[in-house]
Amino acid sequence: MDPEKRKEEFYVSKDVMVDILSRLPVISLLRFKSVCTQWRDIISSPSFASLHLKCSISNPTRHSILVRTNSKKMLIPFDPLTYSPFSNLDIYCNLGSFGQRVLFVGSINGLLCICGSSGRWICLWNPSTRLFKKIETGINGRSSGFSVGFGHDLIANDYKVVVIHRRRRVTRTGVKVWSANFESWREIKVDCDFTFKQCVCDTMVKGFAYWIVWNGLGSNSKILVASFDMSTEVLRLVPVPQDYYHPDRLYGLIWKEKFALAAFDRTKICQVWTIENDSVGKESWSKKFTFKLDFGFNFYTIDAGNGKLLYNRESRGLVFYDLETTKMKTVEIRKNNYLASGAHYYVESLLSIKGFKRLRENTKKMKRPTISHTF
Amino acid sequence: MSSSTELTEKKVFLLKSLDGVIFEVEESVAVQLEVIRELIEGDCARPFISLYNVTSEILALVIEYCKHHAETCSGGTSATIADEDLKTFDNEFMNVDENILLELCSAADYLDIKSLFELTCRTLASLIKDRTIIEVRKMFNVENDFSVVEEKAVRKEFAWAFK
Repeated sequence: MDPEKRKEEFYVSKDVMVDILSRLPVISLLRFKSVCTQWRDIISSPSFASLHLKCSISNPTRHSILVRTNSKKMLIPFDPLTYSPFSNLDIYCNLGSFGQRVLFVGSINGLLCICGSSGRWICLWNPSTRLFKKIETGINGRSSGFSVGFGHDLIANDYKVVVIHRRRRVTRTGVKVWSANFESWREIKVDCDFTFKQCVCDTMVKGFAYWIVWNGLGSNSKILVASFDMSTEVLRLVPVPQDYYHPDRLYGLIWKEKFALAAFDRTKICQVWTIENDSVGKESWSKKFTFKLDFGFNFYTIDAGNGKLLYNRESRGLVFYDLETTKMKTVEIRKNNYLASGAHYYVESLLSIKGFKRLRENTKKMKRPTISHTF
Repeated sequence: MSSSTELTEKKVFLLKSLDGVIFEVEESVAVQLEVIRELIEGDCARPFISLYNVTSEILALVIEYCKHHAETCSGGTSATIADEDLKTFDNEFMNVDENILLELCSAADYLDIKSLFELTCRTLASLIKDRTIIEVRKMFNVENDFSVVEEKAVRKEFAWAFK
């Protein structure tokens, strides 16, 4: 058949069109909104965003590890298959657009959660569409300690931010949760007073956020794992196994899609535990395996990384370590010295939440440090 | 006697394309078309099946694809070699004019051949991802139905994506 004639006669059905579009990167889709009204309506619909996300999750070439750094206000994307830095990922990673002092909380389904180091605001942000929403927390970091968690309520398909706060002079811990569907905060009752390690939660897994916390003082202090269920909005406290006394020797990580505790016992050997019975009040810990690290305790767990660790080697390079395969990869950073301060998995998506606004564009092209890598 | 057993062993189906061309295919190939497999399972399959949405040119390609996949999977080779072989075949098979690719994709959807549908969708997506709006409109035969104001607004929304 004559190619021109073929073209005139042939139309692709809407369903087939949707399937082809769902396999495109976000930046192409944002452009293709201008093709025609039908394409604009398809690409803008929430159901298409869900379908596209499903495709992105099942395609490992769409995944990246965002490494956060302490010196630069940048997130640096790495390929999780080869651990080499991505050079052409179309995401906007400049945390500096949001303020001077920013903490990175987590990444779920293409949405990132960051918060100001003052604790006064949090921000949900999609770096692929460059849309964001800033939310006031009503917390003042000067008079209160706080720690932020982020999660996806799988039942209501809602994105939630949890803030644990504790006024310095009053020994009572409070928890509040913000829902993207309701665009409002809700206070959660907690009966126990406890203190937390850092300003962001330790681990986020499948609809839960986890913190390593402790209550009591001195020899009476007890280390616990606080888990927050994003669907039921209930905070539970579970004592950690055996005699671990020091919260700094405990790390939260993800093992087989479950929360796991990596615990050091005064040596460099680490025990990995998972919670076996997850019903309330009947939790028990089970020892999974041990591993030994020669780089001490200055490592970060990669959220959603299934037993992946990251650490800085003498401030010159990054080391990725996979607990499952025990493979190690060093990425040397020659020119731009920076220290990693954690890492998160990222899958690009079109996901949007109510009230998303456009980021004031910094049109300057993002500068990326020159990185070379060796095994 | 022997000829009748042969007949039951090698069941064949006749597939008729939109433009009236008849193709003879073995059952192992026909079952890869989910629409036909369902007919067979529901005992509704007649030996003669009309496929109204597929031209003979495209149907010939579809049958070539299904034949190769059926042979490779039942060939007794190890799974990794079969996988490699299919990968090479698929890559070569996708090396066709993009209009044929679009028709193959639609046919795979209509005939419900999951692997071919996935393959063509993926190939088309990687073909178009860097194309301009005008090129995409031409390829998919879609008209620009925006008003001037609408088009300006939709382009402005994500202006950075065009840079």
